Amino acid sequence: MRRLSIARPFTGGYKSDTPDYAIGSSEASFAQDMIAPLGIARQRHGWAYSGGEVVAANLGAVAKTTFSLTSNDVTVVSRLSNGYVLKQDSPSGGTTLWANPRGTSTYWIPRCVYNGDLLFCAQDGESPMLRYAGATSETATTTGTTNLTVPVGAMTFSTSTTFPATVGSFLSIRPVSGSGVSKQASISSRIIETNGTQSFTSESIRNGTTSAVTAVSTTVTVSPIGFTWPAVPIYESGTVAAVTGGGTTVTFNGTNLTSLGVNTTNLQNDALLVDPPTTGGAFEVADITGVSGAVQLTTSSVINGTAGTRIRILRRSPFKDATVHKGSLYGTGVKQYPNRVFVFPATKDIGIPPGAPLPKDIPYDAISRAGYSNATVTGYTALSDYTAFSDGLDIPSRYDSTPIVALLSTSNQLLVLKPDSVYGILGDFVSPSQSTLTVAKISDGAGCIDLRSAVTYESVPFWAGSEGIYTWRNGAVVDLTAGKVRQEWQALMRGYTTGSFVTTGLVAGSYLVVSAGALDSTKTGGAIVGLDSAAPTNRTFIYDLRTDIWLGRVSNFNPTHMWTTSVEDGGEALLSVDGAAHQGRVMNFYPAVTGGSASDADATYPRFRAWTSASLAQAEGIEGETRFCDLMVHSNVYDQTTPTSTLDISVVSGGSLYESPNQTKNLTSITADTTNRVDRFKRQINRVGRLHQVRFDMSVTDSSNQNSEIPEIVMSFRDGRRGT
Amino acid sequence: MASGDFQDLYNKAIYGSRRDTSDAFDVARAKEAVNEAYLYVASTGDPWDWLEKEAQFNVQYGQDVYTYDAIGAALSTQIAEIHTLTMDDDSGGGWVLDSMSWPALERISWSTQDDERYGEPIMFSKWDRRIRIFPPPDEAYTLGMFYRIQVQEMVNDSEVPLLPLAWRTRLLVPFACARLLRQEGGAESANEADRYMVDFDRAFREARTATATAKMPSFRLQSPGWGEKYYWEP
Repeated sequence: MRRLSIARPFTGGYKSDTPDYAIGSSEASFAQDMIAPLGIARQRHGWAYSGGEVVAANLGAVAKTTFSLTSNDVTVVSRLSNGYVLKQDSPSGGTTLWANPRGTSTYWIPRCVYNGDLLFCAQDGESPMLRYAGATSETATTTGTTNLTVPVGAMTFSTSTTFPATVGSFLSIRPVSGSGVSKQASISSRIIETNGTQSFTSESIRNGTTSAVTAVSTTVTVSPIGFTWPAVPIYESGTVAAVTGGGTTVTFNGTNLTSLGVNTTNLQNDALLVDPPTTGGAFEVADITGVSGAVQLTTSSVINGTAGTRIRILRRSPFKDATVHKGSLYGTGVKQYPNRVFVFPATKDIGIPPGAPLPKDIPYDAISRAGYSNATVTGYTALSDYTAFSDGLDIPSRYDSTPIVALLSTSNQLLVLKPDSVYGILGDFVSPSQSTLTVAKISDGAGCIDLRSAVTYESVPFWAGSEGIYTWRNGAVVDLTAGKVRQEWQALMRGYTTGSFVTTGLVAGSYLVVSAGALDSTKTGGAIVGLDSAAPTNRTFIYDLRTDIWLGRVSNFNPTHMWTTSVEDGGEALLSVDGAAHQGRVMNFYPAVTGGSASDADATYPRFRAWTSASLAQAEGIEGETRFCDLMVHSNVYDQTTPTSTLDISVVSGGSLYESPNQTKNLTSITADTTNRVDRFKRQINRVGRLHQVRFDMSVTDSSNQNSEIPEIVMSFRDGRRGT
Repeated sequence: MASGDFQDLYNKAIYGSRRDTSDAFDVARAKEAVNEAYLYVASTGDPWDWLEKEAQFNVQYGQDVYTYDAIGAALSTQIAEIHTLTMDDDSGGGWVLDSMSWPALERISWSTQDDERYGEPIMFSKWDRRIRIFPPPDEAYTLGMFYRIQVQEMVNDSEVPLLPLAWRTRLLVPFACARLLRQEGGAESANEADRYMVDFDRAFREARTATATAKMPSFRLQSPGWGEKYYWEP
């Protein structure tokens, strides 16, 4: 008899693309709950809950980061049902940070951290992007009319009424003049210092006038959530028809306002930007406070607006996706311009106009610059002073049938992901006058199917598309599924429909986790693999980045959103939420691969399953009748106490001249022991066939299980009618 | 399963040929192989002691011809060959019926056919797996019979071959293993099959010495009127 020894079985990876008789002997035709941190196939550990239960369930997204301004770690979640953003409190509960005024029309997904703010992107392309800087002790949003006092040259604001605030809260105001007339568009600035509840210092707003603002009545909001400057034009082609109502009612020629869904919520307002009547003149800008007709609106301050002058309606970064690249914030997904990428000047405070001086160096003298009789801001004479870069970044053109799905930063270029193509933005954008941005098409295909699948980890991007799962390596798109699980993935994505999700996350710097769910199972029949008896509605894969192999599926883990984080005192985590079984909880997958408990936090045990090649006897061939005589399993199934963990073994043989159908022989299981050592177990098979496959199934996992691994299997075969 | 029964033997054949006792196909083939071995050993013509049997059966008034099958059916056995018949008379004595050829008996019966009488059988002949006793019984008698049993294929797991226990495994299992290995093909299997057949041949020779000691009865071919005993007087 001849022997076949497979050292480190299954670590060649899971390859459902290849028929099970054609894969290598060390590869797996099916694998589940398998990891190989030391190059040995073993059962994963359990994932854990992170923090307590968030009472308001129906979570759609999660994020955790260390906030530099507040020097704390905060986990925040967003709700699918109403778009609320909540802080996850310890040990349990959730505190609303943002009560979405738009109801169920959208929800927010955290996408990046910029200048210390965690940015949440609304998924309707209309609602404002949210900024959260880590305020935890004061989470209420307080809006009120108060008498505001700001000394000359000061950045400290005193109010006549109470505004609970903490460092990291946002001060949102509409700049005022000494006379109390509101000017310009509203701005948000982080509070960097507080002195009680009626005095707090803004990060970037200063009274630049020569006279103090004293007890000027105005509207103030102090909130854990802030907004950006309305830097995104959503309508650009109208002209002023007439200005009435004392200068605050503007009628224009152009689109029907109702189609724009103008946001008039105080301090979140969309803004009206009016071109200078003559070249080189000053723009006018004001919040839109009401829509009084199809082509008529009211503004927060007086607009001179010469008839025929071009107008723009600006919005507060209604990005579906935003990312930081070379110091700039890039955003995309605006409903009116789904092919457009917007970019703020590098390091710019996004709460104030893009044309404002850099933060920290020169605070935005909003008070002083608002000290005019109308909404004109002296010195802001270029469109780019008000808007995030909008010309020339329509990808590939202004109107295209495929909207941009996501943006991903690499060390060189910014990847722009569309459903069926990839573009790159090369160059820098320090300021509009110092821009070298160019756009180049990178790939037909390799697109992105779901924003939540697009993540960057240590400058390496990953995303999932309908055709594959991709990364960016050595200046090229690399399909991680190619030749491995691509057909299975494509079959799954055929079931991607409205409400479906695909999300990715990185864990332990070594594993990529990809989760797809809410799929239409009438279209995913091609993804039936291994044990599957029905077309799937969801599936989660895990990929080993060190060895470039798919480790197979993950059971009992199908998150709708994942967030990879590494916080100073909390260690690394892959946080996730799902829309089903673990509602209200934040799951951390990190312990699953680094040595957590034996079971998942919901008391479900992982179930390691792995199937070898079906052509073990012929070593990647199918010719020749062979009798599979003996199987030696070198395994370590180690329970710390009272061992009951069980590793089942079976052999499937078929294709024999005598016995053609596959026949399964269940062998005596391996039961755990209390010795942490690799043991040898011999089992007789004595089955004939051309195709033989060994299957392992960790059918029982004890709560004290420490390790379940298979370093080696050895088989003996006796050749039969070879060549027949 | 008991040692030496059918199941024990075919399981051993499965083990020896590296087949699988839990596989229905393998079990079926192993059963076939053991039965083939059994029938082969029994049918080599060797005078195996373990094939010799004796029994009694009844003959009826006036019926002189009986087939082996009819006798076997009456006795729930299978008869390969009848060697000797005996007769008990009413007084408790008896005799061995003389066997003779079909023509010889025919001559006797023919010579008396004009005035044939029934009586106590004293001679018989056999042909075509049947016997004819003569004279035809004048009443029902019980005849004694010494015969060689016809070996049948085993079906049920608990059936036991006629071979002595000591020889069952040594004879039947190597032969069956060889058959199974031949079926499988391949050089390794063929070599192993050859080795099993060597084992079988050696065991067969030893078994023949040990258990093929039976002495076949000689026919006493006689002519009517040879002696007084054979004088027939109607």
